[in-house]
Amino acid sequence: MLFNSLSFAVFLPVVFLLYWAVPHRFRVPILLAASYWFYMSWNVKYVVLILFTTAVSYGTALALERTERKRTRKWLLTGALAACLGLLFVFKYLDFFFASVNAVLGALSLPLHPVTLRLMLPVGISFYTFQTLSYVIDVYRGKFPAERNFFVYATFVSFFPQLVAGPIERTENLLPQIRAEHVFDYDQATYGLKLMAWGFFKKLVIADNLCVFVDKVYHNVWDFEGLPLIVASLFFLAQIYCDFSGYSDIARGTSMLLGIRLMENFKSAYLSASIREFWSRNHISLSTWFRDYVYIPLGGSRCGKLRHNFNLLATFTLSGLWHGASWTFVLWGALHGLGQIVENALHVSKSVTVGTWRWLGRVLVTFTFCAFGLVFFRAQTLPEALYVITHSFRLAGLASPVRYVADTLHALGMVRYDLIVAAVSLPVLIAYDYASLRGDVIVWLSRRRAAVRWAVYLAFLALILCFRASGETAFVYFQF
Amino acid sequence: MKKFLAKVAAALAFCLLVTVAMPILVDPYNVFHAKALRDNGVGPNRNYIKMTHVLAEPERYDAFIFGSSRVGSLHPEVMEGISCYNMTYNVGLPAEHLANLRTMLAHGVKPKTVYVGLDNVSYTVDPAIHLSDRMSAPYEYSRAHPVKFWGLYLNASVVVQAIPTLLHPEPMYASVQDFYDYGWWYDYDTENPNENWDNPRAVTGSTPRLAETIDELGELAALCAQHDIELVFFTNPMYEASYRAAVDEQEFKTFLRQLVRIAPFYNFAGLNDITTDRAYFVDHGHVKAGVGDRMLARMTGGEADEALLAQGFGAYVTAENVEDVLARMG
Repeated sequence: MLFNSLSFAVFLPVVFLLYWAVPHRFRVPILLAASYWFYMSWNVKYVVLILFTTAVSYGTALALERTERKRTRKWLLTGALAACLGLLFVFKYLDFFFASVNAVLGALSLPLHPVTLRLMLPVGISFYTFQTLSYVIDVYRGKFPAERNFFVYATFVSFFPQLVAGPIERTENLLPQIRAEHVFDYDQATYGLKLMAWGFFKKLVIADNLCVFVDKVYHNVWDFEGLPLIVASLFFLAQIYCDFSGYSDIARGTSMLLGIRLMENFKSAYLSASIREFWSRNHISLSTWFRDYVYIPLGGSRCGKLRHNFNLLATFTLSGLWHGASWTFVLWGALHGLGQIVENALHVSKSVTVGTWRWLGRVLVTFTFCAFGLVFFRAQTLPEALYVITHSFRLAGLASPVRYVADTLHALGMVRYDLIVAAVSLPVLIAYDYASLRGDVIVWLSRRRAAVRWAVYLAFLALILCFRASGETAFVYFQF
Repeated sequence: MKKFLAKVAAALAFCLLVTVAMPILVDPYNVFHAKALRDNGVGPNRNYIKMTHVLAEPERYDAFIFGSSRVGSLHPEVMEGISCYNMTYNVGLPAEHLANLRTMLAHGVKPKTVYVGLDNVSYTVDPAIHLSDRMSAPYEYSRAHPVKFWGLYLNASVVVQAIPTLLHPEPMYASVQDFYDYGWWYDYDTENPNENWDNPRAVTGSTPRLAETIDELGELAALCAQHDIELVFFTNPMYEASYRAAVDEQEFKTFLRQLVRIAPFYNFAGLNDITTDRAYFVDHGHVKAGVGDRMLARMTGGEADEALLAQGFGAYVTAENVEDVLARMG
């Protein structure tokens, strides 16, 4: 059940009304039932996997509390990590692992016995696995007591707004909110609706319209060179940002309707002045997860320079691997690790205050670096990514620029309507993100006069409805 | 909560106005105006409109011509003593003709004769692509999946995209009345001034489904036999350059060999004095109405031009002479 589907348009109001109509003690069962219904709408069979992960982490946390013995506690933690990560490995990485081993054996001229399971990747498995891992580790570290009520815990793992693509919530934020008694808050609910509208704008108007042109090029990159490759790569950056941050906004908005605040996952990410700052604004729930459970345990920055660089590289490479079982993702992650190592060497820090033009220059450099990295993220294979990089600047037709641009638009299949959509929607996105650097746009707008407010709301709704792409396109991050 | 729900209701009402009222009112594809078609310059969903029209008057027609836009040049009014309707629409496919005929029979339409025009497109295009195509989403889809079908049209962005055409429409119909009476719409007498004759478009699909198509045609033949309907298959003529660019000759001949096992057919495809002469064509894929008249005359009265027959054009292909005709097709 996609957020941008008719079934969700029926599902959400039903859950909302039921949730607020019943007394507090029935709300967790309603949320749990709704969350499992939501998850099973993709594939009923995979409910077994989420139940397994839930049961293992729930049981391990309780067992951790009952023993003081360090060795036993370590074994319990290792067992839980092995079980949850093992499941993720089998469904997500096993074929990649076999393919890589086969490639190495093939290179060594050793006999090959290729094995592939071709298992379908269960929706959201990377997200809920990491959420349960952070819970077990937090309980192990004594940061948080184990949850005794299984239904409350199962709701924490499966909470439908963030189940399939995050934000990857932390125990201390989400679990107490699920347990708490909520009173309907008008301001929070209206804020949630507005956030959802903004998320839908990004997803339906920007991401889904741009994906047509990105797919056209990236489905067969070999047919293109020069400007179409550059435009498609820039469009992909806008597409994936709007797709994922749009999902996060809809998830947070949906959750607010139920009185629960999820963490912010994106903060004007492409207006970052450094790669380090970018990762404090982009997919925040994942980057902080890796910071807290990988980077810092490895030693973080409180160690020698070499070790620090290794920690950065290892963390970002793993983060790349988290996104997908392919060397292109690994390279993309490693590239961001290397980028930060270079930044550290050059003493580029987000804390340094610079003038507007210098800031703009840094934003452009960071933006260009991210766009370059995303070529690896979007390409299906390494040769494809390398082709895009090596053929993007073959601008043979640039002698007559107007004709070249027209030919590029034609090659991408863009017509006047598409240009209008891009010309209207992209400036709105940039303006919103820029304004968000200074404050909350939704709050600012809600303080305007009613007539102004409603004029903006209705115009914005009309913009979504009139420019939205047709069909129900899945969110990109569902594949992770 | 009441205040919140009231405001949500107001916003929803606005959304409904934009998403439902506007598309119904403007209706670029004419699906909400199936009985009162407006020539607005946007290609309407002809399958849906024609089926709605035929089912509304089940006893009006004795015969139907099924096929893609390539059968659009067959003007049924030249047929004497029979009331025939041309069901032609964009990339009409055998699976959809079968479904249309089943629906017709279920609604009391009892044709005496059914003509079906076939070519390379018939077995290379997946009917599934029409389920998201506003110009070709079949009538049966509106019954089996009404939410998905109407969802294609209840969309404000559809209206917005059509605005340039709606503001500067180029009329499509010689006469809307002819559309309702006979099923044809374009002017099939004048060469398309925008056609690039030097650069033929390879009009063909990308889904190999020859076996499935033969099965569907077999089912169509069985259905016709069951209801005592005369079934006439025929192949569509294509301009030489387009034929060479789009048709895999071996595959096409395999298709014809399998087709003749289901029923004999009239052949108008291949290379002959008609298909090698641009004067007979509106564009690469569509013959002029004069050729359509000759094809109909051949299929109804048996008239034939001996010189063309010798080249396979108009040949009545049976299991006995199929190899001979295929050899003459060029």
